[in-house]
Amino acid sequence: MPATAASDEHAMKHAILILETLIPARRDASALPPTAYQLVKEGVRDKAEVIYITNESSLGDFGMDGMNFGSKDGVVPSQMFTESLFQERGVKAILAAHVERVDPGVVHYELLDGTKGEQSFDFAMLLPPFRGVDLKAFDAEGTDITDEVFAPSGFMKVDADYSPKPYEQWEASDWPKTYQSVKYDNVWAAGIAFAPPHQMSRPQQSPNGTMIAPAPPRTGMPSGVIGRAVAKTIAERIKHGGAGKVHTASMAEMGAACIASAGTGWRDGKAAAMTVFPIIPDKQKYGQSGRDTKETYGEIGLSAHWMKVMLHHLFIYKAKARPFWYLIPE
Amino acid sequence: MDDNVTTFPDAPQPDPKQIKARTSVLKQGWRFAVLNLKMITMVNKGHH
Repeated sequence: MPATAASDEHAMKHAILILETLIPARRDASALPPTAYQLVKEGVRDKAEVIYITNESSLGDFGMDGMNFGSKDGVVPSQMFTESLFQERGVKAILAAHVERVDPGVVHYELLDGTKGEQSFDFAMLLPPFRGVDLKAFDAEGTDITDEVFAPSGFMKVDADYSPKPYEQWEASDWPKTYQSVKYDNVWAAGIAFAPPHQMSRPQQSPNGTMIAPAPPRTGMPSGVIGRAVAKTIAERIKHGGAGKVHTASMAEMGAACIASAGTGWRDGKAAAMTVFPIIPDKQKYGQSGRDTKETYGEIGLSAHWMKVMLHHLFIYKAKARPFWYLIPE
Repeated sequence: MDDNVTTFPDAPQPDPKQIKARTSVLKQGWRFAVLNLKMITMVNKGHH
């Protein structure tokens, strides 16, 4: 049977999708530059159409309500930074989309305006939902206290302000400091285990009632810093009982760094390095942007690739507890 | 292609000088040092 023009075109160009998760969750635009790079390296970039489908309302939101990078030329919004990176690499996007389901070769999604769409693909990478493990909790009498200990997302409730309030009233002080369980004073939820009080990005809902917004990131550096603070608190508790010092690590008072690889090689490697301080926007302290633009910046280049290689080896060194490992920060 | 697929034609693109600077060993060596200092400052500022 003769092939149609459409099927010929389809055969020549494969659609590759990087899918957002099935529920509002962690987004990962950092997967795009290495994907595009690897296709170029293998000599098949011209045969592939790379599309990123995300619940972010704009690129560069990162689940952090976007950032303003300080630079010598002024402030560069993370949206502009990321869009530039995508355009330069010929990567396309479907924004503000909630993935409803994935069938063989086609993904179905809903947009913020309530309309439905579908995108065919030949290859897809699906990021899994970011949620707790749905543990059940019971008290000594056997009563189910799951709702008291865990949030609906499956993460543990800690010393955060979980009272529902509109986006305009969100404050940095809503976020936890000690990560101690609200129910038990000898239980902590360090790193990604704690339930965030709310998102960082402005919550958005389609006319059909579907929430379409990314969840706040707290993996990597924040998890390490929080874990260290909780471990210090436990050590104090063992040594001094209830009088022991309680260590804190609020995400509203710490920064984070992310390096997205965009190519390997000591001489021609590339990566995008981004830092943010603080992670949780604090508009009372830093004005409308909520962040310190001296400590919040992003740049692309070989130096960021070197930095990524260096951190890779340093963190493995630290994980193996080699001499002076404790000097390496999280 | 799905009508909802977006490209970013208005996004600023680097000029040839900027692209070259991204892989210049001298310039990137300097940026590597600056990046390290900035990250150490940020880490120390946030630790408790």
